[in-house]
Amino acid sequence: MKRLTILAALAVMAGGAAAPPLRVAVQAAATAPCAKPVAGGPAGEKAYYDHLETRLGREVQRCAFASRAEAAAALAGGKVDMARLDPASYAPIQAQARAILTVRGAHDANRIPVIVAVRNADAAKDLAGLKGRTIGFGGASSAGLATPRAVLAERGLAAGSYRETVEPDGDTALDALRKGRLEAVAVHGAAWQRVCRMVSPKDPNPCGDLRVLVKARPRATEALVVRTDMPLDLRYRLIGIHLPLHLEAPAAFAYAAGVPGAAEFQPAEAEALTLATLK
Amino acid sequence: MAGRAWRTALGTLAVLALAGCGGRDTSSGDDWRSQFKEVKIAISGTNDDPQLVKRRETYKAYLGKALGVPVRLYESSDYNGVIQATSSGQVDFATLAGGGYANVDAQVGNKVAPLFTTRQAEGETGYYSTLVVKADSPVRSLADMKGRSLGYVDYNSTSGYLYPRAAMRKQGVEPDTFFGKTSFAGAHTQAVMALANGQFEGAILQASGGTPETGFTRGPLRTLARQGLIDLKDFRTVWSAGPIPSEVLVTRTDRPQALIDLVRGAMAALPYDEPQLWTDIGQLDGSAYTAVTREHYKEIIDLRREELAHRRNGGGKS
Repeated sequence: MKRLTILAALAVMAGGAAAPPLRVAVQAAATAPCAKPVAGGPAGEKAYYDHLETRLGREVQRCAFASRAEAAAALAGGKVDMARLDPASYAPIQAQARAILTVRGAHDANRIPVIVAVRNADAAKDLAGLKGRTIGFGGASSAGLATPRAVLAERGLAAGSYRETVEPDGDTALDALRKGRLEAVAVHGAAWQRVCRMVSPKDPNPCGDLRVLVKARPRATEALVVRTDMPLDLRYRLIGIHLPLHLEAPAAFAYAAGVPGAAEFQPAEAEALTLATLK
Repeated sequence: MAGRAWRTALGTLAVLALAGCGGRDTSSGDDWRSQFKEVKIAISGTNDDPQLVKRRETYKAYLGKALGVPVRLYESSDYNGVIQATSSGQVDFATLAGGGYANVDAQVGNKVAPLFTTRQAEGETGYYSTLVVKADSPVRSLADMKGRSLGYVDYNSTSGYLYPRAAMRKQGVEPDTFFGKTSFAGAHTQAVMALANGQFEGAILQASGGTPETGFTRGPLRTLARQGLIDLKDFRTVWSAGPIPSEVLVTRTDRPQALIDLVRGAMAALPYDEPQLWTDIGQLDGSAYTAVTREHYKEIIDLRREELAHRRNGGGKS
């Protein structure tokens, strides 16, 4: 009987123990130990922590750090579980951590992949080879112009270092590239797909005459970051809780998004805070 | 004996501890796995579309890994099968077109709720209904279809029945009397083949991945063209209506919140964590899931209610 009691206690310890708190790093005037937030904090703060706590079924603690670099170090060291970082603070810990969520502004496109392409015969091997040359964009929308411009700029092709032509849409830009009116195009992934996706087995590669120099999403300016060893289902639950936050708990969303004019949280690829390219 | 018991207990602990290290969270709310030996998701589709078959397997593999329990896909070749499986609670989640969700909403109300839809690269969250004729047809507009035969997709199809009929009425065309003959093809691809074979002079078909101005990249015409079964040059679009709120992933609201959040998060992460997989399953580069509520589908819900009232009052010969 005694042995059975011991075994039962061990089973409870192994399987039924209370989940450890989720520790969220925030930037504040001074470092403070992890604790549940108290009333009187910034608007929406308590609502956000309460929402997370209810949905995760575990205590959620606020851990204050004087800088993002300190928060990043604490995340890498296992002292917190999630932190809002920027590219500079993320860089030293990128081997141990990954982005999971970014905030989309109300007038922003998704963080869409951008494709920079040239004709096969072009001498350019990378973006540096496009300096001083004519690059065409597929429209004046955020997805057609602002996002491709941003991708070029953060990879060394700032505005003014190339001649810019804004075509009505991606189809026209790609047509102009083929006819030699443009030397390169920078179009979003869907525009590329519209022209280059197979529409008949007779022509399996409609863009075989073109060469992709870069395919990349714009680098995020900020992201919620977790350690790469966070259990898969906890990471997905955090994404699943944040995705509808603007609809389910607007005050909590306004606090958590942290920027005016935010529309929603969006999931992010692991390298969202870097200049990684896509295959 | 006591020593053996301790060794057994410690061994059990070690196994449990290792299980905990296997990427599974131990937080509260995860006890749903003791109630759900598998998660059931309903989708509509037929085996004649390789993209859909691939999509099913992709969903199963990806979600099974994320959820830690097997995923079973309930496939139905007709719209009503998914609608009834969702309304009756035989499945936990379902992908539905807006019209299908409107039908479910009419049956069970808030026992089913939308989770997310797709937001495209340019920001749109809808698709289109198009009237397509053969390229050599004299028909150049909706008006030219007066007295001619028209093929709809299915009574429960949003883009293939519900939405275009409402759009026609807004343009002064009463679909129950305007056409010479109307019938249902059963599915979008069947509607294309029936049009190609001359059964209809025009067919209502779904189109997406663009706008009437930019042209489209997805839809039954392009699916069949990619398979080499038709040539796009043999068809012409003469009318379109939309955008229609895109397909939605819905859940039964009595399912555990932890399960709902997990499925929503795992699916939403797909285009970012597995971008090649995302396009392999037929999604467009740059698109992503965005959370929605019932309000997003209110127009479709109202249209479905009006269509039902119209039929009860003797309209709707299709």
